[in-house]
Amino acid sequence: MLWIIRLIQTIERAKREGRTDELLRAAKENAQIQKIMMRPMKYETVNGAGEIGWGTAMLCFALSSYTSVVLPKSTWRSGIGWLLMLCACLAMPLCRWTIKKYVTWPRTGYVAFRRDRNFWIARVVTIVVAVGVSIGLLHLMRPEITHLAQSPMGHSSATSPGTLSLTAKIILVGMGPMNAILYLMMNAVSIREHRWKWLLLVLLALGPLGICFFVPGNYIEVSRPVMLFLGLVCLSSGGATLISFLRHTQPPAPKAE
Amino acid sequence: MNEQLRAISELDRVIHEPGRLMIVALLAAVKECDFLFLLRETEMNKGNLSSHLARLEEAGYVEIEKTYRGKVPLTLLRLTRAGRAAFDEYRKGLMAAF
Repeated sequence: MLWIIRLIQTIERAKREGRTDELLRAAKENAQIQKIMMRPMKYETVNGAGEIGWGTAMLCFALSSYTSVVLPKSTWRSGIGWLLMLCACLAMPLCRWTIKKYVTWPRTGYVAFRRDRNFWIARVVTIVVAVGVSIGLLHLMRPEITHLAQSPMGHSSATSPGTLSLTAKIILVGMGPMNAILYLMMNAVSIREHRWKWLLLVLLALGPLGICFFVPGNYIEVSRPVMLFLGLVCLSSGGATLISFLRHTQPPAPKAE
Repeated sequence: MNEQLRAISELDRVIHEPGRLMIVALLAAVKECDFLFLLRETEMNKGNLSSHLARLEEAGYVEIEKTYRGKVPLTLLRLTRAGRAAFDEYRKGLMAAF
């Protein structure tokens, strides 16, 4: 708060003395108002809830795919798979809401962020782009999907060595940088406080590359460890952030208000 | 008095006070928050914060809603439309002065 006092004092002194040169110095401090307006943004990522949600979603997708390989063929196998898919879809909002409600708000106070027009435009554009990219990828992978669907073992085969086409390799390897970009977007504020997150960023970007080159199999068989890896990295990063938050932020005394 | 100084003298005195400027700047960035959040962010004591909020409420810049979360009292704070407009005006005035 000292900078505000300094700013006001400078303005007042300049006004009294009729000097404008000090105003120029004060002008630089005016930019601090913008900084203070950015401060609440850190509460979006301070608890690692986004990373935990994203990591859980990726893990659920991976586990859902693994159920077809690990579990014996039965009526409830597909049920478990679908249940995990549902968990994956709900993981992000549920994890964020739960951690905020029971961990963050009691410690740092409740805050709701403004969702103005630009926010909704960005959200709609993101969804449209994501759907477009997904359709594009499906189109690119069509020959491989058709080939797998026609093979007698089907995609649940764990024993068939299978091969990874160049398109599938590019797509799976691309999941790394894509996740790294998402991770960077989610943690733009907290990455300054937790420098070790840069290392995770590199891991996220390069991990799928290693998996694609060292794990044999078709695109479904390779996508499982890729998603598992990405999920585990995000989940451990979120967990470490949450532990750090809990260690450094104590809840207020019972009668804080 | 030159243009710059006149612009400064026309700044909103309610917002111009350092503590209140900080409160308004924080509230302008969010939709709403509770008392505890502002207490932590401004690092003021409860008495100071309450008196500043009362002054801002009196000016019609801040809306204070007393409610409960379960059995725990909760004071929700948000900038009113007039408060947001006044803050925008204040910043424009500050920029014009510089």
